[in-house]
Amino acid sequence: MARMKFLCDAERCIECNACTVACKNEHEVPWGITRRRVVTINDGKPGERSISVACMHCSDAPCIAVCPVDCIYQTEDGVVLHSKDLCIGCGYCFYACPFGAPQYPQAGNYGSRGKMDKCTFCAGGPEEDNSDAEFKKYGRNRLAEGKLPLCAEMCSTNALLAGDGEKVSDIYRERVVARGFGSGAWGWGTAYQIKGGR
Amino acid sequence: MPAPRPAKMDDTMRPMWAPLTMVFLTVAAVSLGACREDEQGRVLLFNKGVYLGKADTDITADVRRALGHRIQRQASGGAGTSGGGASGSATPPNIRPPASTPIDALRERLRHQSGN
Repeated sequence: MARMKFLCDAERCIECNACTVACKNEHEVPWGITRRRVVTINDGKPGERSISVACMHCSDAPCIAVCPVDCIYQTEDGVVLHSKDLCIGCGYCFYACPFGAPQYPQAGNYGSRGKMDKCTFCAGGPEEDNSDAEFKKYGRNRLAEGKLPLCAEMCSTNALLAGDGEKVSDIYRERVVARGFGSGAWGWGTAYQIKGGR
Repeated sequence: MPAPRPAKMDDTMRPMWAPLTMVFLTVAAVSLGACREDEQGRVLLFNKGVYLGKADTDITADVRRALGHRIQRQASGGAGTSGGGASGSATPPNIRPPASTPIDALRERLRHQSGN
């Protein structure tokens, strides 16, 4: 069984934000919600790096652990999805997520939140595949169409990889060997104590 | 002849309490009776750690296989934005057929781009 994963190659990401735009357009994400965003550190300075971040579809997802109404689940392919019929917009998943993936539309005055929204790995939700209801609530279900997430498929530098974790790591391993230095992966230098870490 | 004694408030209102109480209890009973899952259209009682939403549909083995082939496009130096069907693979193209959107709606959207 596949374990669907994202991986962003910080050596390749050029902060074009096309992944963000593609995601919003493909799923017709409402105003105020950004399922994917590009984060840059050392902007304009030596050592600048960018990484595209969204729900990472964790194997042991903390959002699933904290949800008081158990509206978040994991598919057989490791994609973390949720049911907007069950969600009460409490915001616990937002506090638990290390990537800031869950987003909430404003539902009323005083900052009251609506149903949680997040990256679905282009796999829709629990509604019938490619139905109108699924599209309106969760966006397009590309996986059911035999396609991978659009953000990765249209990345101009192929910085963002998405698909079966084993194949993603194969691709990435080849790149690291070809580069001949570090991994270029976020946090590599910190994790492996390379001087002047990358 | 003594003047007739004015009726006290209690004398006239007391008989009304019983029917009012009955009406109130009936309304309360009907209201509370409506707190059923099928009438609310949502789950009211949750079991800790159990997902009670709709069941998801798993993708088929064929689709899973197609996804496995498709990821190879991300490995190459070129972008995967082509119309799809590259090198005659069995994976579906990235381009969808035109939607059935009426041309008037598209023209209306185009008007928004004018900035006028």
